[in-house]
Amino acid sequence: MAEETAVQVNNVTYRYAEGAPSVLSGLSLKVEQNEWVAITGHNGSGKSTLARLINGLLLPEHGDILVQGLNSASEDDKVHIRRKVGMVFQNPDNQIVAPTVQDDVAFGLENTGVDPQTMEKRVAWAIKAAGLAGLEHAEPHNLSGGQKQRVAIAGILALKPDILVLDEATSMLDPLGKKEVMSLAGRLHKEENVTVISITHDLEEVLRADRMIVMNQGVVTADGKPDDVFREKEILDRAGLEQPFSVRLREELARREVVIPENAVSEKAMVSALCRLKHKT
Amino acid sequence: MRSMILGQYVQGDSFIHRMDPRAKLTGLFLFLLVMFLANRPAALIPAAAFACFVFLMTRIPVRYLLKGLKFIAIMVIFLFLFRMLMTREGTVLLDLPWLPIYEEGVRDGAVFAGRLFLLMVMATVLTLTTTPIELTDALERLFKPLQRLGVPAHELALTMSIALRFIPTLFSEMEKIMKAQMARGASFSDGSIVKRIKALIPLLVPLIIQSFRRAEELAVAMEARGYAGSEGRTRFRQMVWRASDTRVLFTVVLTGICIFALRG
Ligand SMILES: Nc1ncnc2c1ncn2[C@@H]1O[C@H](COP(=O)(O)OP(=O)(O)OP(=O)(O)O)[C@@H](O)[C@H]1O
Ligand SMILES: [Mg+2]
Repeated sequence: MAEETAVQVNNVTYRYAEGAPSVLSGLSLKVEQNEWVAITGHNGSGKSTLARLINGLLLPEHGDILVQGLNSASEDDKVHIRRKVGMVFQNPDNQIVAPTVQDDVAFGLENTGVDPQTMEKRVAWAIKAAGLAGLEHAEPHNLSGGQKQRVAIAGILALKPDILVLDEATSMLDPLGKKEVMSLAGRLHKEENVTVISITHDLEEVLRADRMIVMNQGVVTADGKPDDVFREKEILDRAGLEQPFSVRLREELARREVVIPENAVSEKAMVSALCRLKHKT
Repeated sequence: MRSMILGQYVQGDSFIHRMDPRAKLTGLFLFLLVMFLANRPAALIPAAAFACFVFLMTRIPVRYLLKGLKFIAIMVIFLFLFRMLMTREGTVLLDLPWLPIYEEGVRDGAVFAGRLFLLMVMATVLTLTTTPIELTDALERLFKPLQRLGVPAHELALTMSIALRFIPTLFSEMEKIMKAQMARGASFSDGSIVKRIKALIPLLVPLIIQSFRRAEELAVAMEARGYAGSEGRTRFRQMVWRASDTRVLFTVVLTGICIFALRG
């Protein structure tokens, strides 16, 4: 089981209505177990649609989607797929169902019919893991955006998912909220071996990924390590993406014959590379 | 705006707070039934004693109760006057030229008003000691047997709990829209009534549109989290019906017996 491909999308076509233009046209991709993949692309390129297809909220018109070998089109497997794939959406306010944090974290468990004793333990564990200890009885409207998104993640976490899909989960948050959510996702990735698929416009978030996929008009236009993809200016331009600041800085410096190692992509690595440079001179 | 949030609950750890909410609801209903046995004010004394006793047990300061009862007191007085003037039996107590007051009228009015007042006191005690979630949960469970008859107990309870979840969110959104409209020169507090109602339209339209969007997104999120109706669902909140809960209901019945004994 552990070695199985986490998500396999085979030649999938999807349209929202008969006669409407296809949102995805023959899209194929694979996400391996325990990978962190960032999906990016401009508005309307079909990212959210892909996310909804992955956990069976939508079914492909052509092609198929396998989640750890289970077909999303199968009625019997749908329950299992929903349990394996946890989704966090963009708007923190519109995904919390229950009037208190602990009731909301329990919601998914209630739906799958987990017995109350196990549920209590799992809810307590998930709340703690999401760094929300002490807020069990808090009401959602009294929480910050970052806290709300972490409640959403805790609700998913309680179900022990294998795959976490973040659909622009940080785009409505302030910098602190973004940081909280991303570091939680990072911890789950490392400690719980959760596969992360993060849909995002935030280039810093893309840089955290092992791999990035660029979508454009329903197809994959680039797929590779963020360092490599970000060097392909042409592809980025076509997808309406900017190069991250660190990549631009490196290229700008290279033009002035200052060499920065290519692996210095993240902000931190860049800063230390620049500091080392200063020592040399 | 924050002050008008529904169902003031006062946190506590009293026996009444810890009672099974199903028992509290059933008890309130039984209490209502039992009070119908009274046909003169004196017969309501056991009910009043029971209500006092329960309220003292909640250990909630009296002012909370009084705050909740202000509006109800007006209603009760009004009802008393109304019943009193409508009933024209028995001896005349006060021979006012237009509105003679009859003995029977005073009695009837007092019984009616007393019943309503005591019922309201007990209902207030219920909401003061029970969180809205516990109440919806208890209602769902009590009505569950009726689900086979087509009463959508689960759906109603879920709707209620989602409403509870979103009321504060909608209030703060309304405040936000109000401020935005005010910044554009809208006024909600002066002008004629027609003008004020008109001013509400640009407030309500965005609020309603936004609510539909929310509902749609929430539905998707719920489905993604595996929600598929009440079947096969378990509950996080467990309710334990203890012997003491049964005892409380028994006390209500005893009160009923006392009321019956005191009938005139
Ligand atoms: N529920 C829907 N009904 C009809 N059309 C839709 C629906 N949802 C999305 N679309 C259309 O499908 C296309 C792809 O939308 P999608 O939401 O997948 O894009 P996206 O890449 O997530 O964009 P964004 O970055 O804005 O979130 C868009 O043209 C959009 O108008
Ligand atoms: Mg989207």
